[in-house]
Amino acid sequence: MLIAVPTGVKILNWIGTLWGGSIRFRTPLYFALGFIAMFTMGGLSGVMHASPPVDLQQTDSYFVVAHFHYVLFGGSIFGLFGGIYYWWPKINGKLLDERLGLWHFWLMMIGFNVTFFPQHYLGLIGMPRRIYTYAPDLGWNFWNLISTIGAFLIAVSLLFFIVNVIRTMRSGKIAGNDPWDARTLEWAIPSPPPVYNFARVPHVHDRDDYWLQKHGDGHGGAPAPRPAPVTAAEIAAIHMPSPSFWPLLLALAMAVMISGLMISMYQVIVGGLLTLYLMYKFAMELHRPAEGHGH
Amino acid sequence: MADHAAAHVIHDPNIGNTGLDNRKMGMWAFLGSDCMFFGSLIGTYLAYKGKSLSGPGPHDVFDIPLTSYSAALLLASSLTMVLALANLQHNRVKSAARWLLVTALLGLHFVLNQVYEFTTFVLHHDLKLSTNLFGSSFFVLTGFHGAHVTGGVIWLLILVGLAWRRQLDVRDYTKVEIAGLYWHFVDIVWIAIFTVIYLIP
Repeated sequence: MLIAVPTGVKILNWIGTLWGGSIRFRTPLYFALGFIAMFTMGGLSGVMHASPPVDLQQTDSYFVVAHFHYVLFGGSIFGLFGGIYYWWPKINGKLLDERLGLWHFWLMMIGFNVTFFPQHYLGLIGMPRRIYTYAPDLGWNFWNLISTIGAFLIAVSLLFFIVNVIRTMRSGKIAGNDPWDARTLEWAIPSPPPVYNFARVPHVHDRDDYWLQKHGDGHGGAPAPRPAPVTAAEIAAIHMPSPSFWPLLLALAMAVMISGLMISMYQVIVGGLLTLYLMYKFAMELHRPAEGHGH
Repeated sequence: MADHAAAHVIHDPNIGNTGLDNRKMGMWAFLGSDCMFFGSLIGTYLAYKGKSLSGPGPHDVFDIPLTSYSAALLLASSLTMVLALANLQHNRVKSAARWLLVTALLGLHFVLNQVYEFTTFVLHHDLKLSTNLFGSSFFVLTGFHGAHVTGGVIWLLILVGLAWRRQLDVRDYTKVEIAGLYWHFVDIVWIAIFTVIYLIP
């Protein structure tokens, strides 16, 4: 119950963010709305546990499995995919396909509900959680079958996503700096962003600075002044660290060492020596760079 | 202002936009987190102090004269570390290498004393990591400190090797200074451990 109150406030925040906005129904928004709706349902089934008799019946049953999948799958996977579809063009320079994205969304939405909604009912008719099999005459077979079908639907929806990614990488639409006509600053720089991100630290005058530069304040005010174009001299002045393989190899050696704690002490020793050696190589890489190297 | 600063070519890649040397900044950040690390281990030791259900307890096993000698070695090594850095800053590479070597050998002596101490605890007092709360909290705390000293010794020996191969001079004093920060920190931690664990009854 205590967690439901701030969560309810958050849900009102999200709806308030949408309220009065000029909403464009693109894939990221579908996922964002799916997230709000599914998370809300997970929240509602959570509130039910505030009642002790209900809690007593539902604890350790499939009802709570359904509940927290609505919270965790609905609340994070949908949000994550919304973010992936939204920022993919910024990260990779190409827009994911809308049509495949919607197939992905709807199949995942339907598959998710077909998988997890029946589990509320299964829990209420007595199926405990954390079991992988059960006797055939308990009356749980039908809804578990439906749940399994739903799980396959989720898997199929992910295939659509994978196909979408592959097709986009091969022949996606070039995104440009600002494919969504967005308001935040990351859309002011090229997609994918240069390694230094911003050639010059941007001067921010307003919460929606980039939007103001493009459209003014929406009440007849003039657009905010655009920053002067970045000069070649400014870009030349940016110092970037030299790329190096040693940190990656070092991290792998540490993984060998630490996973050895679960497997064998010999692996810990080998990984530890490797870690020390790679730390040495990493530290020595730029100890005496050749003349004229770097800045 | 930012435009103006960005228009300047930054010559030293080790100086970040905080104006501090990145490497020194990184070492201080690491030492900050290491304070938490040793703080929690010392805290654990104190929380379980006197709560062991069976022996042996701290004062059945501690050899205070030996450990005082170890503490003196480590304290002396902080002095030799300072001398090494001072010599390098005046580009007296040979002396710097010699003091670095002395520092490393003092550290090595400390580690060997600890190996002897741990061996005595296991063989003569039957105190192991799993014997009781004292064994667990003591070996984890002092063992991690010993591992820090060992790492420092390896680091110092690498610096000595570089100096012998004429790859270390006054230009590299920051590297020795950072090794020194680490070394002094390990020394200070030992002062805390020695006082709190060994000396206070």
